[in-house]
Amino acid sequence: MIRNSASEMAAKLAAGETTSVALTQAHLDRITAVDTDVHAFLYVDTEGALAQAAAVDAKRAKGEKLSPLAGVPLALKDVMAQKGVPTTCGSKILEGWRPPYDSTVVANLKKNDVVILGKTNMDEFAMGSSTENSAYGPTHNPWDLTRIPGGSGGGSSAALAAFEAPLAIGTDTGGSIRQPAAVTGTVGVKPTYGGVSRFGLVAFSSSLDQAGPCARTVLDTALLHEVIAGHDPKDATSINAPVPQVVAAAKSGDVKGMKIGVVKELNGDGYQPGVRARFEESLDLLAKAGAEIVEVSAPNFEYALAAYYLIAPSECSSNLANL
Amino acid sequence: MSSLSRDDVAKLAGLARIEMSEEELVNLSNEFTVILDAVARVQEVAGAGVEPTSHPLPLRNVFRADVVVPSLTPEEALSGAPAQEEQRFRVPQILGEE
Repeated sequence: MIRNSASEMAAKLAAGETTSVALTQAHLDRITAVDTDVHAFLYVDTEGALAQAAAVDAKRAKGEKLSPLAGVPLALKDVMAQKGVPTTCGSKILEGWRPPYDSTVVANLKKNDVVILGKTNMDEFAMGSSTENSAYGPTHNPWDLTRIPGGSGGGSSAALAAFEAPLAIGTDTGGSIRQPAAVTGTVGVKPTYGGVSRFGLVAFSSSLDQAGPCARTVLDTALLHEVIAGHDPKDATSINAPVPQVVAAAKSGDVKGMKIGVVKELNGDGYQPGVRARFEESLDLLAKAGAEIVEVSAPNFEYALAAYYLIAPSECSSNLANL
Repeated sequence: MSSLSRDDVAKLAGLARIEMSEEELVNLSNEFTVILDAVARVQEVAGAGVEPTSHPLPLRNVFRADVVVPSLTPEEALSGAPAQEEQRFRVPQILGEE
């Protein structure tokens, strides 16, 4: 059961083939069995998760209309405030802090009855790209425990790859969702800036930070995005517009007539041959499926990394100055 | 190309009241040099003719209506305080008496 996708789990729950308590317990058992080796989790909220699961099952038994992911478990990156649950950002500085409030992402997850299993490991304050820089020790890649799971959200990506959770939340400033997804064979999206509220997300670099959905399939990522995205008056950069219908798009898979830009300036050195080949392959697949591939130019792209190295340290010095 | 020497870093660390080992001073001076290189790179393009941008959204400053909404109780707000007094955070004294 734990090897199913989140949408398959949701279908089984809706059909009454299993309960959220059973599904949650199966994931808790998996965590007990493998997390000593993987170390994806910093905190497992056994009691809270089972209570949340029991509440969803009760709602379902009463015939209440439930959200598409209701009862499906999720792993939460430890950079997100969750009321009453330890939130450390992978740092000893915040050890023992139990936030008195929920971040908007967590509030949205709870409102949609997504069961939160616990908090996942990360590079300290999300600064890093290997999850080796957590004050609580590194996370290991489930495919090969001698390798890194990417970072900073290596706990979330490893939890997905190790079947400890079918859904996870990540945050991405300079790759912290996308790169861990790439090196664990999972799916992660950095949504459009302002698409997901940053309220209750411990800030690293405010003009770059963005929370986003992680899962093992594109459809699951889309389902999770529609749960967490949307306008939030508590975040001044939140987009006040309807959330794009990514679930419908993921289900149809129709790319006919879609124009896809490939940035010319990213055509440089530094790619492993295998990575390059897979990228070209995906372009071929998209073209065969009817998409139009066009070359676009972003002439300032070569300055992006240098700009990042100014923006990110400046903003994090300011955001974290009070620690 | 600008750079920051080990001694420059030691001086900064002293001003910031941060104790640093010899190894940390040397590592940081290398890291500062990378950041200074980044400044130089960005200066190549960030001239007067370039419009400043922070994000691509058509957003100006955002205000909310001035209405009272539920917020944390004093107990909740102070739940993480190492020390408290009269519903306030208690912090070590940093100025002299009086």
